[in-house]
Amino acid sequence: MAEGRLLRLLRALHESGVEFVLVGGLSGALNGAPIHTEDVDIVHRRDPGNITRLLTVLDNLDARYRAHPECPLRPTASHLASDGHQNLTTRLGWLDVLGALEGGMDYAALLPHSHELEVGDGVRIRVLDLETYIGIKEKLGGEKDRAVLPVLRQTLRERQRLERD
Amino acid sequence: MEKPPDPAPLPGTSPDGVDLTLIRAFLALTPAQRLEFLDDRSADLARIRERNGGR
Repeated sequence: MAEGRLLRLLRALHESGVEFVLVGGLSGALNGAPIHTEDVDIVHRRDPGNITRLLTVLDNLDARYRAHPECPLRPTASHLASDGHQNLTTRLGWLDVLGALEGGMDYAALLPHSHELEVGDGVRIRVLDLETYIGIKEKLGGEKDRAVLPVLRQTLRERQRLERD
Repeated sequence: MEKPPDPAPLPGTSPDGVDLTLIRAFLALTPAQRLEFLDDRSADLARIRERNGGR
């Protein structure tokens, strides 16, 4: 069976050796929360080698800024070296490339709060812990963040119950 | 010997209204199966949107 777009996008990043932590709704879903999401959010390591690898993948995926569909603006190394958010569209769907999360958590800060998951044949990626994702959503406190918190918290409780039993 | 009582059934909904059966079903999958599920649903939604003129 053909692989879906989310897996193909994660495979492209993994196979290119890009170092990143998957965050956002997809991290919650891969950790077991039944939430739907159509975009991939990553926080990447911002050293020159990793930025070069990431730029190569983005170029292969024909990545452009979503906010300017009429003007095919592409991310550059200086964009990826900043702590800003690059909201992109690619031929495999939406990809948000984040230098750091709100509050300044960058790749190095997130790494101890992440774990590796196998999400497809030979595709192992680092994913933000559910506990940390809940903490970030609580701090953000926006309407969209509050809406998903009950499901995330109950998922964590159910997981803890399963681990106890 | 007397049989111990069955454990109380797990609630289907949390006090704040979250469907716990969905959470248990999703937790029973592997991460790879969860991703496949999301990919399938995204493809379904895209097909439905396409049939309805992109709406």
